[in-house]
Amino acid sequence: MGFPILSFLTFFPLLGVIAVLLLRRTDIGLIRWTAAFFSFVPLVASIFLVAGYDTSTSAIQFIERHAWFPQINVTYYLGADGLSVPMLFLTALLSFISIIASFGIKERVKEYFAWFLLLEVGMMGVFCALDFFLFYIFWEIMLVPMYFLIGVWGGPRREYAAIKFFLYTLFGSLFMLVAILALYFTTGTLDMMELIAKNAMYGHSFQLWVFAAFFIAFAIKVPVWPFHTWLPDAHVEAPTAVSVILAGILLKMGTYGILRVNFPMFPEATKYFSIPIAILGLIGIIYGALVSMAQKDLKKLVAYSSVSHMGYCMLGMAAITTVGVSGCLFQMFSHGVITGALFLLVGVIYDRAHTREIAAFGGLGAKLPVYTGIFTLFGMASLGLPGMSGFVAEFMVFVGSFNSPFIERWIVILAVLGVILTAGYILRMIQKMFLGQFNTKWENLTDINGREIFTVFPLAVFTLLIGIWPNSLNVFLKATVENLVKIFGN
Amino acid sequence: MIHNGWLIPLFPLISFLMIVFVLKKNQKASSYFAIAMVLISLVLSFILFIEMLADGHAYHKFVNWLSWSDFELPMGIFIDPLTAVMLIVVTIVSSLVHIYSLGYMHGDPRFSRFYAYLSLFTFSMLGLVVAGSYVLILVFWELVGLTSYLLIGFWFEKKIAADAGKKAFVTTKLADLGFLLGLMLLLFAAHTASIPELNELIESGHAPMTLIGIAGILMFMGACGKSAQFPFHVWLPDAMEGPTPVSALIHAATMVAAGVYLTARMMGIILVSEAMATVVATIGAITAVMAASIGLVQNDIKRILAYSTVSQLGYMIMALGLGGYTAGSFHLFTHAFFKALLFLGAGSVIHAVHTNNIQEMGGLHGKMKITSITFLIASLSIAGIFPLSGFWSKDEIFAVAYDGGHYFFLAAGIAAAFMTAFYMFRLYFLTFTGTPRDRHAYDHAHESPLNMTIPLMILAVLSVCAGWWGIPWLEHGYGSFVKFGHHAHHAEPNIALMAGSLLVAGSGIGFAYLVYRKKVISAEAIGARFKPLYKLLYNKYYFDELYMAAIVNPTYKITEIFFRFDQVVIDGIVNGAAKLTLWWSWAKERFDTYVIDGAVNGAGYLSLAIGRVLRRTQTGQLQTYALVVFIGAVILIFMKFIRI
Amino acid sequence: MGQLSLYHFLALGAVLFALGVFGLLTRRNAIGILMAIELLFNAAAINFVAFAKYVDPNGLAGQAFAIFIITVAAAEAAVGLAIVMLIYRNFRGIEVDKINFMKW
Repeated sequence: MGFPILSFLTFFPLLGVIAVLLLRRTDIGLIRWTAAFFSFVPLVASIFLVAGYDTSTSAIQFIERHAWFPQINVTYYLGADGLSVPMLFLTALLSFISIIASFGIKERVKEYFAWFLLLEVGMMGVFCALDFFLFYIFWEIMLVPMYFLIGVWGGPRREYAAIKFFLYTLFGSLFMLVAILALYFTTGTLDMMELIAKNAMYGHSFQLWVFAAFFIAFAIKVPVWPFHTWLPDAHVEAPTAVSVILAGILLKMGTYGILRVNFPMFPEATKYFSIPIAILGLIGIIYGALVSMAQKDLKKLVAYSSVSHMGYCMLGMAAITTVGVSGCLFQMFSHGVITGALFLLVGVIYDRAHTREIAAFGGLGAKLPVYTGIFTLFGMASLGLPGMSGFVAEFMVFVGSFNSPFIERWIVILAVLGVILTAGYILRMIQKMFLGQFNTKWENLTDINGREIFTVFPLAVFTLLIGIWPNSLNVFLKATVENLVKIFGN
Repeated sequence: MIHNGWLIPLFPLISFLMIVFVLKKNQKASSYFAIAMVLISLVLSFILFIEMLADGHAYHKFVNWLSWSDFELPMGIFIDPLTAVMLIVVTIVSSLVHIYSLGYMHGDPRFSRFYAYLSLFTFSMLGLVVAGSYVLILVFWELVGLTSYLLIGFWFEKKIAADAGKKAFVTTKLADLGFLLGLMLLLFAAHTASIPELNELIESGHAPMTLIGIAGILMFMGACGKSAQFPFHVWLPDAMEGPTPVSALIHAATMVAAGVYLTARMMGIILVSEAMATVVATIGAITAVMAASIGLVQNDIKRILAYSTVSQLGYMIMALGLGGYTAGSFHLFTHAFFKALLFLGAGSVIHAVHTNNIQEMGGLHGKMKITSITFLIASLSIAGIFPLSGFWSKDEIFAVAYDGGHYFFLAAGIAAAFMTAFYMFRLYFLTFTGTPRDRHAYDHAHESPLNMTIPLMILAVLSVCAGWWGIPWLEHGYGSFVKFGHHAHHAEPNIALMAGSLLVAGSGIGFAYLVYRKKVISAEAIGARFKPLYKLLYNKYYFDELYMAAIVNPTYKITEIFFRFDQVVIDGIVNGAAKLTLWWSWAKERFDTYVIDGAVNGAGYLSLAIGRVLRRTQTGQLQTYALVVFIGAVILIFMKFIRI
Repeated sequence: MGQLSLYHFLALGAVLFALGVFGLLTRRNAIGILMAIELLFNAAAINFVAFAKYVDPNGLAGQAFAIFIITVAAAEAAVGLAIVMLIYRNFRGIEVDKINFMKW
């Protein structure tokens, strides 16, 4: 047992919350930099985590385990494996970037950053908790800051969006709570690893029911069609940085949860449900893309594209092959990076033009060449252009699911259509915003500034790195994914 | 150099990065750096080519890109004679276009960016050529698509250019779905996408041939998109909205030929089944004839050339479908030079007269001698006049069709060849000879600067000589270098066939001469005579309208419907649930107010009411009180007595 | 007629008491009421003394009570008259039926 790095990652931002709260509310500059510091340190720590991770084994690493409530067999149990290490890193990265991107927030700055850091605590916690009690606590903790961040600093319909988001997720959490209790009363433990080890114990129908309960909880977060309608509202109303976190991290918790809980604990049910999951993924891909195409609001377009992209995740995991599940994890990381960047870029133009209506722009390419270039880069990444992470992820999902013994091939063939639809709406958006005659109404727009470039730059680096050299991410996933798929024995 | 083939694409990439991050402000530096880098690639390609001529063996090298215990996806390079030839073609045309653009793009505000895009394209195209796995081919395949998109829409202020870029991207992407599906099927069936491994597997005969065959036809769909074959040909004519050097490089010589290159690469897969080969050949033949017929009546100089490109690509595809690996790739080789020359010549003309419409030109020969002469050479070459390049390569294709007994395809080829000769010379005569039809444009016309005419001259030389490499009498010619399998394809020289093809080309030119030079036959009269046919051709068989009505508009409709569904049904359910809950809570609130709280408050009200009545007894009259006390006392006493 | 018996005294007490009650309830003048109260006191005192004489001749309790009653009556008269004086000052009259401001 060395340095408790996972606890450090999780609770260091909590110190930040306290530090920010102790500052005077008028010291805006100091508050900003304090928040930045308290999110930067976890980023550095997460780099150490990545560097210290042993990629050769699928065993849980960095374990921290202490008795907590021995009366009900609850332990404080943190650990990381190939599923969580990339996510922890992504969380640290996006949190830091989002905080930098939030420097433009002018109202109630102190509360904003305090909530934001608390949000980071919850997110980190979810990705490293290995005890259901702890997991559930972190899962719920996250909701509160998110609710306030949307509800206070959001757009015109923020109350509606915040409440919708909160209730939707809480609705799912109920199912999760029931499922956790069911597991607890069956086995007497809340330790995930132990529950996985005991997975042969569960009866067939028990597996199906508990799987379904967990799945609903996670599916709402992903969001899987038809549980997705909170997403466009929340994304559109949330301030830029919160949209980044929503798209980049929160959605991933759903897929992470399914892979962490549903798959290894209920392999039989997973096989049983793999076709429905794949079909839900397919619907998400096609439906999300089609609805994206109909959008007139830039942010809403990106939001719906998330529904489509997370559909690939669902399809990939439903395949239950090494390639498919890796594709799902790739898509999680890649979507976090790309869509995070797209939201940041939407925020950049919104800050300047105070509108997000696609049709209001036009010909910006001539006036804002750098912004256009960066936007086009991420737009292309989003539509799966090779050389960038989105392509690798989608390709792996397709190949993996096509080779899968568990799902029907026509699902995959239809899902491929999503690629062309994605190309359609991304190109239409780029054309309407950046190409064509310059709309002189925007004569005074300024190009993207240094701070904003600083926020998207690391995301571009990771998009390209994974796109060109996917092994850089795959080494972390490989052992864990292979171990996971082995459970299904094909 | 063969072993370091991966270096060749790298230099244009360096140039792209340098321009984007460092040089972009300095137009001169950007362009010269890009030219220097592409010239290095050109030199390296030549070295590789010469080594390959001497060696002749395919070379491949792979590295681990993605791997799991049960699946591997290595990436690497594969270099064989076809690669060497393609490298030469791409680097030569690209270098010349780089130089030509110095003049053509002079003064454009986005000059540096143009060179960045050119470099990126060159990188992707070279990468595509050396790629050793179909997955890697797909990667570069999409990248060339991206640069094509960026360059078509280079003057994006013009809506038509932006639209054309999008159309090109989406159309080819649609075709690429086939490529992607084919690749998935290939990986499923053969567990590898590496070209050398796949070739070995097919040769060994232990592969699931049916599945691989289906995969091949799906991947061929991708090739159809890139090479603008029927029914995906609609994007290429629109792509002419891009700057002319781009049309020459991407949409004539290299990228559109990528589909042909891919089809050639997949030769082993295509030849697995007769049916599939027939499909390929048929699509090629349809495209060749259809595009040539459209080309007969168009008036935009670049669009005529675009349809000509589509038609010539159809030739190549047809040749490959008929098993003519050598013939198809050889035509690709020669076509690249004369078609690039035609486009650059057209660019030179447009540069001079600032219009694309050939009806507004005429008589330019006197003003632009170099352009006119080189254009004439290229026209003769594409028409297939002895002894220019086009003659030899076209003859190869006819020979393949004739030797294989595919007379239908031979007829299609000859028909297309006649039309090609006709529309090329219609174009030539209308542009360069006769009297100027637009005086103003004519007066301002001038010969282009040297940096534009020198590439024209170099390409003219290549248009004449490149084909000599494939003269059938040659002992160690093209046929023994680029060959499928282990045996050189050696078509017996067929003098009769050659004479026939020369006759067809000659009659096409002669017909054009009579109509447009001598005006013995009136073009208007023919047009009026066959009016329905003329309209059909002029409107390009209404493909655009058909696709618009059958695919694009319904898609938009569907998106609206789905969005409505999302808002009305799904959100309706969610909001309905919320409303129901709200109603329920409202009802509960009423219950609370009126029933539960009613009971509590009611008790209070009741006491108040009673008090209100009873307080009437409080008169404030002491004597009344005393009376009551007294009466009470009396009653008590009486009760006492009555009780006891 | 013979000797005076207890009943004669009781009857006198009862008559006095009845007169007192009547006066108490009917007089409108506060002074009259006070006087009626005095009658009540005296009726009670007569009863005490009578019972002391006839029921317990050796005891002095009855006489003692009578003394108390006289004292209390005096005190009552003093306080009562003082109140009447104040009432008169405030209301310019001592008719009790007019002084009903203590009602609801």
